[in-house]
Amino acid sequence: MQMLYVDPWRCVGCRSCEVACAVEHSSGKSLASALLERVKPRIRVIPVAMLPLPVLCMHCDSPPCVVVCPTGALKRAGDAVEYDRELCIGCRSCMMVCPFAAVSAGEDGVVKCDRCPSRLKEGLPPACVEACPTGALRFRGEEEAAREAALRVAGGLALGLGVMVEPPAEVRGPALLLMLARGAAEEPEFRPAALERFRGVLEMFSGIVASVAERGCGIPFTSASARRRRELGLAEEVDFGGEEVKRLLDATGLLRRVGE
Amino acid sequence: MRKLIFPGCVISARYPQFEAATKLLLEKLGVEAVSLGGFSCCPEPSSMQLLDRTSWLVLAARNLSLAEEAGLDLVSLCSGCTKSLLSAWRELRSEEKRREVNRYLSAVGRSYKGGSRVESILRLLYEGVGVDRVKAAVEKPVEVRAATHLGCHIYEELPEYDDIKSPRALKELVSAAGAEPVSYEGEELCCAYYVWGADRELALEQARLKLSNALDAGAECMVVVCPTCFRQFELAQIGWSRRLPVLYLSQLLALAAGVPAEKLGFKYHMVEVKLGE
Repeated sequence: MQMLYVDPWRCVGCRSCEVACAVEHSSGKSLASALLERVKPRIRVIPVAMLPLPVLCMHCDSPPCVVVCPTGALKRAGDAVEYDRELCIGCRSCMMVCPFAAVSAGEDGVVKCDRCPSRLKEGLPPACVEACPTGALRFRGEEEAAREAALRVAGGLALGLGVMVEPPAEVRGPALLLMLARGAAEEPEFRPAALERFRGVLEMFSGIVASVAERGCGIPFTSASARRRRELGLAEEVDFGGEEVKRLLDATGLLRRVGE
Repeated sequence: MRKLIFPGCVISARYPQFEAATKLLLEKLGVEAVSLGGFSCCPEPSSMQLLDRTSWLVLAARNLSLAEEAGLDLVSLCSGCTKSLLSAWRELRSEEKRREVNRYLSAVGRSYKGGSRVESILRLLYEGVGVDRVKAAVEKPVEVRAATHLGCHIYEELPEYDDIKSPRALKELVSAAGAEPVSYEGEELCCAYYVWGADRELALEQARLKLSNALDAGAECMVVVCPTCFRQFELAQIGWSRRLPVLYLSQLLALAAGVPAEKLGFKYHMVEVKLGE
């Protein structure tokens, strides 16, 4: 099993990976056709805390994009997260929940790293990996990468980088590393727009969950709700099982997390 | 046929007219619609699943256990609820998973044994009742050109009874009401309500693109099967120069089945609906 591994500490911001990605995903597989077709690279180098950070699909073990994809256009297959344009209905839910902002809007659906399947078939690494002059992008076995990532994470923690969100337990080491690096982008001028976007989604989602924990209902039930119901001949008040929900969420530990 | 209605919190609190319309429609179709207190949020699939999967499954299982206790299958009026409850139901086929959630449910004196099926109102009307019976119940055909919008979460069950490449269930039901389904560019796209949290511009752009394309194709209304899509298409028309009334499927069909318009709550719509006057 091979995985794409990002080591931001080695990245010098040359953006060769972006060019190589665009070339690989152009119809003629040349720089000319990439430029003519305005191919969007699936990897982007963004500044985080003044340092360049390559951002691309991390092919998570438990990918949030697969959870929210309503049509199965995104699915986990082998060691990659695959995207099927044919099944996509353009809801962009994946774009919103990706912690790495690694899915972007395409003219037709979305665009994300596909790990260059035709190259893999020939036994070649993805184009960005081949183009990277410093080894910031590598394609290697999981254990080897995870070991190195763990060391890097420890290093990151030692440097006092903040963690943006609690990462899902199954997210691989390098993914955690990226989150740590993203968390470092606290100064507004260096904060990438994608980080803001993810914050907005988290707030929206937390709001719904907090409301469910509070009263069993995901949105406010107002006096207007009751009035409309009465006018329509429905029961004015609705029992949303609030008490039981509270006890259950207390047992699962979510209530405590929402409280924080 | 008896069905237990699962309205979901958005319809219960914000759009009770969809619940009222569904009940009146089902009555006309000879389906007994039972209401039951105690259902919580389904829970909302994306947020709860991502923040804590166990909590999502436990709350969904609690809702399913209420239906099981009542001995009835659920008909869900909201696509988000359909997705959440149906995927939970599938996951709870596994005895091991049921044991896991029942450990939590026992704290509130409940357990779930895997019973009670879940389907959307779209599926009930299309498969359970059938287009022919819906057609036979029409008293006042609603002769209007109607764009249809399936939305995204319905895809959790849609492949079981419709062709997801060219869906026809919703269009056939709209035709049964006497309306003319209108095809428009981007029909298959999602309403993008969820994108609000991330990118307001993009959310508005996509909803307005759909509305514009439907209007340009000659649509006089947009028919949806999900309250969130309804909300998105109404919100997107605030501060916009064009107008396309949005209808929930049950409202259109109930109107066709002879239910008076004033019982269907059109007065609560932000975009004026002038049908059935």
